[in-house]
Amino acid sequence: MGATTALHKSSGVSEVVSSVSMLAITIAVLGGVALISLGSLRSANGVLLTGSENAASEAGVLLTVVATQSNSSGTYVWLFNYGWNQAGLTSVYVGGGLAQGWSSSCSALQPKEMCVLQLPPGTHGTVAITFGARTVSLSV
Amino acid sequence: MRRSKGVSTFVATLILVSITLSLAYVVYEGVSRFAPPEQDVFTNQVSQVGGSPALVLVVVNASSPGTPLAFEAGAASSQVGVLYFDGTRYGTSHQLCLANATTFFSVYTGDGVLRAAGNGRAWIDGYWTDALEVRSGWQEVMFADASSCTVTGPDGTAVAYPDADISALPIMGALPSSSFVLYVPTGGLSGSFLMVFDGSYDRIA
Repeated sequence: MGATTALHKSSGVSEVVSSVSMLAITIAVLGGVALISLGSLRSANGVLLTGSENAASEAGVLLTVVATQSNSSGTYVWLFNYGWNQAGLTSVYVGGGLAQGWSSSCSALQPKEMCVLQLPPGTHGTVAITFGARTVSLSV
Repeated sequence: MRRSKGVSTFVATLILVSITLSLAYVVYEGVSRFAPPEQDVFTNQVSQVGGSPALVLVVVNASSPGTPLAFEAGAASSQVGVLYFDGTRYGTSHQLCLANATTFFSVYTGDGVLRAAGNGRAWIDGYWTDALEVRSGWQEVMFADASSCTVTGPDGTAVAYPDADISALPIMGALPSSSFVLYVPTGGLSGSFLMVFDGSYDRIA
């Protein structure tokens, strides 16, 4: 009587283990397939999301050149952000080439605020100031 | 006895699952040959950076890493030769520099100083200069109005077109990548730019 009960119990445990194992294998296989098949969709979604966020952010960056001045200590450009998003100066080009030796207070230009860009003395030509995808162009 | 039966059921199910997966793989392999290649998604950013000729900065982000096969400007393709812009249109040449035109291409270098000297103006990785300290990877070089020119890598070796270290595809940085940066001379005109990948393309402007 006792031996029969033990055999039944052992058989039940074996069935449960086998079912759980099969469930685990099925989940692993389906999960792997889902990861592979949705991978490209996720990366495409990421690129589009980042692009849309950047475009939306840049739409709120509206910049204008308030004034320029050149003297013996340098060439100065004052910029005003009349948009509603913060703008960060990323690079400065003079004549189509990256400029060197400039300094600015435009690394985090808040809305309704002004900043100044200082270029080395004797700078002349077309200046392009980029704030992400936004570019402000002027001649000095 | 019962335990043995449970184990054999489990093994039989495993075998069935293996057979099913194998068959599914065989069917997938057969069908995937007829399926179109995976299509990437691209976002582009084009910024005017001025200059003479006027240059544009192009940043392309792709949804998966890859290596562009070609860059097409107007009717000219980097698969044909080194791209140039003569103020009105794009063309290709088998020289690194041309009088009365701006050529643009890329050079593969290690770390060190890349030199691009000619009897016109030279541009390296964003700077109008004939020598620039660069990091390992592809460097974009332009020659404006130069009838003769030489490009010398950090190891002192002069490179010419065609060469394994010269690519008519103007690109900066490491490849393969999912983000591509390049500068294109446009002269202020609106151009038609296309970046071609294996199985897909990105119309930039």
